[in-house]
Amino acid sequence: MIDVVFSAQLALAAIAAGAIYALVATGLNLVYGTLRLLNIAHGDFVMIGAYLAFWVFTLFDFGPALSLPLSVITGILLGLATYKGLVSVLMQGTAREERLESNSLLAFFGISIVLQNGAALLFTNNIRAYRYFDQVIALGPMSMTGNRLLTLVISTFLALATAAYLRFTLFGLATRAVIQNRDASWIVGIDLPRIYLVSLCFGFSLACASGVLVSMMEPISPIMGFGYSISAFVVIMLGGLGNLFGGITAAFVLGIIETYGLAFVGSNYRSLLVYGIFVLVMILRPEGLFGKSQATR
Amino acid sequence: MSRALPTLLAAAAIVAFMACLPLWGDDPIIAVGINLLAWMALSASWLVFSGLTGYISLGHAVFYGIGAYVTALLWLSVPMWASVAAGGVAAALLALIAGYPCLRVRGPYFVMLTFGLSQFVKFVVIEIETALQIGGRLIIGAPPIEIIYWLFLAMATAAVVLLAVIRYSRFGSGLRAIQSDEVAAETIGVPTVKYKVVAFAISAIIPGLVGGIMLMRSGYLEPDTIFDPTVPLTMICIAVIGGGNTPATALLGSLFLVGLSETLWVRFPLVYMILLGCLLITFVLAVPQGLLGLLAPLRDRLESRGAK
Amino acid sequence: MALLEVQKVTKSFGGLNAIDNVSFSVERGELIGLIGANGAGKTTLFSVIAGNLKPTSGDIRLDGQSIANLPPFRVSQLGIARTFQIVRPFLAMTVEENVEIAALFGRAQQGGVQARLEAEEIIKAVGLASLKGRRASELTLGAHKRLEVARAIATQPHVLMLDEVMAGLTPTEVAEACEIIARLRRELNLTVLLVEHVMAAVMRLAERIIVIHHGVKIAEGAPNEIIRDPRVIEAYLGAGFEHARPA
Repeated sequence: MIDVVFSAQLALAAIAAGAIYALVATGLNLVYGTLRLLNIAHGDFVMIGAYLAFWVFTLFDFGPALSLPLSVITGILLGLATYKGLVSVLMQGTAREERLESNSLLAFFGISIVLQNGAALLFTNNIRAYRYFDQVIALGPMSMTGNRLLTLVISTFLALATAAYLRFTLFGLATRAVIQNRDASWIVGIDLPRIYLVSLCFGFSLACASGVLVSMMEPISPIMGFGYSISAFVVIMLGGLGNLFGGITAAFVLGIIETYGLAFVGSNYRSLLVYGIFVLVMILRPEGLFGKSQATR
Repeated sequence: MSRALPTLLAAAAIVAFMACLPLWGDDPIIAVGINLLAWMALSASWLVFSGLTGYISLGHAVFYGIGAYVTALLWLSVPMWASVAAGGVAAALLALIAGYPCLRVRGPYFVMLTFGLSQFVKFVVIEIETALQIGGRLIIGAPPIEIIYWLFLAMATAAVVLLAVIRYSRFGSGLRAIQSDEVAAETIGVPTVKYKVVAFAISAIIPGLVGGIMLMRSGYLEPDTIFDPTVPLTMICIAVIGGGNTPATALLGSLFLVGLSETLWVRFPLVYMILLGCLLITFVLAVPQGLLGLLAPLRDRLESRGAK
Repeated sequence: MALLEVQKVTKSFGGLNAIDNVSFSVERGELIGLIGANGAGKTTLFSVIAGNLKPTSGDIRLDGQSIANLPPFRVSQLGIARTFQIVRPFLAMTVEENVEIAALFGRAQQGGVQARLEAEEIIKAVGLASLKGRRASELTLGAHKRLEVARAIATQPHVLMLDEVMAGLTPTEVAEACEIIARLRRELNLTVLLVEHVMAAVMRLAERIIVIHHGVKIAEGAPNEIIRDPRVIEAYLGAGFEHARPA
């Protein structure tokens, strides 16, 4: 009996973890797929969302109902700023695609440093946390904390919303076209700069929103984004760069492996597990589980 | 050859000047000197690989860390120089082993993979130390600070010489061809995979040695500090701010960075880091030619004036 | 023994055979034209011969030695050079450096000074002498094509494979290019494989023509025979081709 509960609870935790990864990774995939920019600061946007939720709760006593929309707005603003400041410059300067990729990596590296240390400066390095909705809710034989349930619901909703946007709107179609073949999209008249802007805003909003969700369950610190950046990269590389649905699948795979792995091995080994998996996959199958063979030379 | 002569003379003068530093300077000055030399050694080594092939290695700190760790493990079991040398060898071996799989993948994958690998090694080391229940290792009996200083000077000189020699050699041309267009390079006969791996391994040796020497100086080893992620960040900043992939890059960049860190880091570490990040962004976007590129017109003017 | 032998080479991608059981041989010193509609598999064939792709089945022999599974740099060192349909110069380097590197690494693997001298000669031969100090990123398409050829030649190949070097050139430039290729072939004792759509060039230069259609070799022979071959006309040339025949 305990075993069943144990594993059902673990399963839900795994799914919740996977859902968060899926959100973060989808945002990253959108940005990479359309712009070929390696946003290594993506996890730091998650951190921003987390701090946002924390302060909204601490100062104004509001939960995700307020902080989620605020985080989306923040994400949009960040996307705008990035577009104006970074993308236009990068697009003009470089000729070859690969040079663009490494340059963007360095630029975002810089952004990540600024964000992490800025947060440390503003909010101090002390770890924050807050209690929200953490009463245990029983659903039949399974029980789960409210916040985890909420996370599951909201992230599922957001994931479906994203999928719907991509599938059913004209803009989503255009976005998918750009991901598949940038030059061809240009030629058939798709407004590339606008797609870039929207993808950036969308992707960053997803990250900030994930931050809000994460903040309910985990402690908040300036350097928390780091782990999410890495995990997000692991996920999108596993799923194949630019492959949105592959990324979502890979996110759940990672969530499951991580949760179950930790249950057996102990949370100290968490980083070891994540990096180990990443290294292994990169070595054995660089194009990921679903990607096309374009990773090797 | 006549063009190289003034540069060589200037370099020799600098080395001579730096060598005399411990004789007239006191400890704080020596400390700054050590910092400068260490970063020159590290950044020049990084440039040997990343500057020439264009493959950005975010994980080079792992060689520094492994060098320090191996040195610590062997400390006092073998002569001191041997333990440091072993650090260098271990780093090179790690680069060789990791090199083949890492270099099979291109651009962004490679960057992330080097980073992932370095973090992986870091956590393995942490686990080993935890399993052995060692919080930190004490290194006693290290040589005096002057000797350490001269060791760093040797390392910096070696790294810069290595960079210069390789860059202007056939090997270096091949590496730069790989950076420009790897497929074309292979088509004209450059053995791309072999070259990349060899460059990777060579670029790992000096950081490994530097790790060991730095350990002798600090006297204490903790996995978190030897695998500090700011190390690769700083190496990259030095290269980007310096601009280009020549020895002058390492020199200019290191001078700038050490100058910045000496003024800011002790009192305002966070501001320093934020400034570093902003500089990185600015230089990547607006000044891709780096300080070297900015100073180039000045140098041209000096040269033409000298020619008259 | 023929210098280059392509033996029953097939290259498939997924279920599609880009090249299907193609065989032909090239004697030393010949200049062979390879023609076919777009997508017929000509560039794939080049890539397989040069080592950029591995054949799914079949063999390729250079001077009797099998080269089918060698990496591109080995093939280059053994004496096969190719140009790319979409040029791939080393953009950040000068024209001189581009050609010099090829001399350093190709079959001959010259020493530094010798490589530079070689490079200068070749640059002169293809008509780029006035541009030799310019960065490759600043050149026009015509100059890029010449650079591509110069670089290939600098590796001192036995076999030179030119992939649509005339594409995008004006008629004057085409005539000039034909002359350069013919002269280089004579002076350097080259064996040349030419993939071309510009029929004037092919008819003028080739001693023998091979026609590829949907990955299959459908005809082989002297230019005059080929243009009369009904299969070829039907597959590729179409009516009204008579005017391009040499005088």
